[in-house]
Amino acid sequence: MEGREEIRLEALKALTILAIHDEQFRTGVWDDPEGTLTRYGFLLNDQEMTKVMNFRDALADSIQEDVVRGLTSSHR
Amino acid sequence: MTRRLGEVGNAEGRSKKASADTGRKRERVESVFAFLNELILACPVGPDYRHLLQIHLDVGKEQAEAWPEMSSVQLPLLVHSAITGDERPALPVAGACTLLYLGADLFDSIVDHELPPSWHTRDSSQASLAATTLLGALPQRSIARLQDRGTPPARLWTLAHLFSDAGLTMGAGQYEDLLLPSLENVSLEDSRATAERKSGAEYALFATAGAALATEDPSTIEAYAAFGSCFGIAQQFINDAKDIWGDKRGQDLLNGKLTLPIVHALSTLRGERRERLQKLLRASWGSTEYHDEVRTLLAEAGSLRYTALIVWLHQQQARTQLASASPREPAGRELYTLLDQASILPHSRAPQNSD
Repeated sequence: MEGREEIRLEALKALTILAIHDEQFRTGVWDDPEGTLTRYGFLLNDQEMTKVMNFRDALADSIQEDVVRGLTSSHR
Repeated sequence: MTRRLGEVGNAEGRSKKASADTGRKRERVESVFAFLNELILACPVGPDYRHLLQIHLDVGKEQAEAWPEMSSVQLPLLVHSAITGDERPALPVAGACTLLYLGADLFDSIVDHELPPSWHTRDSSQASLAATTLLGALPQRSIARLQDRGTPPARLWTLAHLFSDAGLTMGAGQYEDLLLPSLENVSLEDSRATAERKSGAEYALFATAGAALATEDPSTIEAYAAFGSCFGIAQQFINDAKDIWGDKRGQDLLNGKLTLPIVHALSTLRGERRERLQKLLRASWGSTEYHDEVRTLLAEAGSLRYTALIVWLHQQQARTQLASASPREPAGRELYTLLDQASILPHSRAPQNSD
């Protein structure tokens, strides 16, 4: 289980900006997350990279039907 | 073997904590809605109008009983407790936040033609009047209760300003949301900015109001404001995804709303596929016939996966902001748990973060 070590705020903000504005980044971050992050100049430490990869793997493992099932539980 | 025993012990401990947390959430719901019921009963208006205001209070209570995580109830109380160790003084603030939430919720329901059954026998102008009163008049009456509890006037003034500023920003966000379908080209940044002004401002208020009652330290208040804003943006995009793929199944499509997954697909698909999606979206206004094909094209564009990424990035930002505020326990743990639930991944698949 991960603890409460967080990804640095500056990195998260930069990742969000790229995910919103840069189509090449959006494509690359799924196909080759580590390579794409390196090409864009991110120097994430091991814990930060683990968090990114855990999220990416959890999402990749969830076939769409599973994700949809998760969405049927209430969110407000 | 020791590790295995430790895991079982931790699992049992987490289960007990989760159960206790759920009990506390329900107690907060009970306290806030009992407070609001009494507040409305004390309003100097006739019984018919009082009843009109209570209709949506009852709708909100039903929602909160089904989903006690309701942010307008939990965030102000938990943030106050995370700073001072005591949540009770923030009850009128949670009341004010919940009134604002109920007003905004009722207004959304009117715009989206989704009024709950308790409004079906009433003219929508009566619902509009109730929404206006819930948004514009009652939160101040709730905040005024703090005066009876000895809150200094300067802090009351700060809270009044916060509600005014948040109401203004949320109004601007709502207006942009109404305009988006009529715009020729909507960008992903437009979607994000609208979510920030609409839901981000709302959740930022819920967290900031609890913080501003608890402390005058600007860095703590700012950290909770940023935490709330990112949490609210994440929640908005979860709702956008839920509307398309979840149990509501397409109300936004019926209303022609350009939510983040749709905008992403329009930004990603090219040529005939994009034109096909545009045609299907127009045909989806008022009819569910083409919704499945819209979902197929969104899947082709990877729009659910993209929405999950944007939700996660905002959820992680909220975590980092929360950590920077060093919340006291047990409120801190409860705030992290609420935040962990703001994910598009099924909870069994989501990377777990809370201790």
